[in-house]
Amino acid sequence: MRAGDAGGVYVAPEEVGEPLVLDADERAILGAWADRLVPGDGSWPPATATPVVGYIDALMDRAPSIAPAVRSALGWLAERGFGGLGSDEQVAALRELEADPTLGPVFVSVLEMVLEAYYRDPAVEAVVEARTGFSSRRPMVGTPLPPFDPARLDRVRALPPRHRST
Amino acid sequence: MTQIADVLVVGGGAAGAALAWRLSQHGADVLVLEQGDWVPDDDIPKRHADWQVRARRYWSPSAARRGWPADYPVRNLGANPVDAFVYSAVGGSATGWGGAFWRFLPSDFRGATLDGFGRDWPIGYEDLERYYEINEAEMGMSGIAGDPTAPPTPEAPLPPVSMGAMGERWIDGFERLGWYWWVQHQAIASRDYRGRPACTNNGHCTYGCPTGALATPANTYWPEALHNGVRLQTGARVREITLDTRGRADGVLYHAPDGSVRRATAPVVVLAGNGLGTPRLLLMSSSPAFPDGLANSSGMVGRNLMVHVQTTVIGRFPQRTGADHGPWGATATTRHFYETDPSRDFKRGFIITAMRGFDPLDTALQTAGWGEGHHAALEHHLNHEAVCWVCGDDEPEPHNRVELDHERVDGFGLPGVVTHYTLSENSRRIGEAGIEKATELCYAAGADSVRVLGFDTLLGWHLLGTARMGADPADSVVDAWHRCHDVPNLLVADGSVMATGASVNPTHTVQALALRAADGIWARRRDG
Repeated sequence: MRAGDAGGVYVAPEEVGEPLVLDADERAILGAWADRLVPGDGSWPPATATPVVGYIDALMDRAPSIAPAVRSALGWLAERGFGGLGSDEQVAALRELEADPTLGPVFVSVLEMVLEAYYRDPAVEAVVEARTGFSSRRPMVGTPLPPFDPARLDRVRALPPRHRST
Repeated sequence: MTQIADVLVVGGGAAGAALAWRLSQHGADVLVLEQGDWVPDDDIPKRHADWQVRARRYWSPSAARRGWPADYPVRNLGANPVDAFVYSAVGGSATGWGGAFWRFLPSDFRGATLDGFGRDWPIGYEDLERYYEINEAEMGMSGIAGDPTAPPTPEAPLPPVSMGAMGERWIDGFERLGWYWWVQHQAIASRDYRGRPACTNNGHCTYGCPTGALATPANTYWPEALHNGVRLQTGARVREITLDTRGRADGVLYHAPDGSVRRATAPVVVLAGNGLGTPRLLLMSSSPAFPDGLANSSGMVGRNLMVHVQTTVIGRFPQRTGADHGPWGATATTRHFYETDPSRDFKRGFIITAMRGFDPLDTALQTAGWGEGHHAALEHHLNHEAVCWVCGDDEPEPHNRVELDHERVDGFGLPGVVTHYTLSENSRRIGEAGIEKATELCYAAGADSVRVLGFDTLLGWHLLGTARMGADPADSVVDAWHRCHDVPNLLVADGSVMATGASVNPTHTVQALALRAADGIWARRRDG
């Protein structure tokens, strides 16, 4: 398993609450990191408008094996004064982190966790539907569709057989 | 306490369920040991608003990622490692499948004779024909007869599932190209069928069907089998097949969930653990008489792993693609390039199945880089993409294999498995041709660009060939009636017996084989 990847461990939205693992400084760095990954853009909210930090904290609590890896990446950013950097400098620091042979896999794991928490947020789902037409409710409730018209097969049905006899 | 039965089956998945049901119809006393458990309805991701997250966490098809209590460790190596997808549960890996339901073609059983490819099966299409028909009725297949790329068949029990606008767009593409194509046959109820409701086009079928319209062994064969008296023991991790003094199988030892070791005996033992689980158990059952693994005098147990030459070509369309609805594995498929064509530089062929688009989370992960521009990229791709899935015939090769992994053990200290897989040159050429033709289809259907998944890691839905069927005991593990050459009352009745794997989803054939194996067991029940 990739460093920082909690694998099959699942945390439901209602299970994300008070921080359990990360301290205030770590949460601040993680929040700034998340907002550089998914910045606000027009009607799209930034990552920290959704419970991304709480979600990662809860996953670290439920899957303690990922905590050292995530903490090492947060420490790497703290050493560079990440929270006090301008946005361009923060992006540059994250590019460096992403390319780091040791911490790069942790970066990917954090990105995945951020996207999970972000795209399951009801407010983001509403923007997704408004902007793209994709309704996350439809796969739960279904969509009426007309039946298939067999006449569409008329050309192919008239073709000669195309399989080998044995 | 020892449990005793007429037939003992290891594995309650697609094959084990069908075999147990068929034997129970005959009146046999059947005990099935399944390492997993029933999947609670509430675990089905699409019953929940955050189905996309659940699908890639606890519902992940990758055993290496998911980590259910019944899972055993799976590690994947080779130049093209397989991301082995298996579910340890009642229903097996059809717990998280899409329902694609294919018969093999007659030529699929004669690869060596026709094409110098792999091994001929010791049985042919005609041996499975009646079992395909039974399976289509039991699973509730939707489709339509008359496909000129296959032998004539009876009409499907149910009409085709709905296409939707994206399906019609794909069909327009097939028609522009003049290719053979046909509606994808699906184990999905297009109308109410035997207590299962008609499909409501929820889409994203592998994330679990919230209505039960998608057939699984758990909602088709199992209820009837249990009604007929089949005993199903869940949470039973079989650790060893035991032999009597004559060298015949007499039962198994298994771990109950509390860790205790228990015994079950029967005059006939059937393995239905598919391409990973079956060779794992045979290799774990070594003894002085079988030092290299039970029933492995040929050395073929675990060898010849076939996974199909699988990749996806994803078309991006100017119009919305309706990615939030419609049976995901359907719309239509072409077998235009299925049979060997001497003008091409490879043997055998491939199918292209035209499918639907990804969900927001998957689209973000695949296409939208982080930072400024993330949302613009998402909007460009989401609900504007649809997938062409390429599936080609990979030749059985001994170096593609499953071995025990003694470095990683399960919760009972039993070894995991490691797979080794490298695409052959023939498979690479099939893959390249499949990508080329799928790209052609995307543009014919109106795509403005395509992206290709490639072959760095292979999709591991189909795990076949690791205890193959053959007439020669020196070159195969089981005979035409699924009996191990070395231990005749030990049978293998799952995808691992396939001598070659064809170019289509194998579940229908796996189940047809299991039904036939059951009839063979019943016919020989007094042979001793």
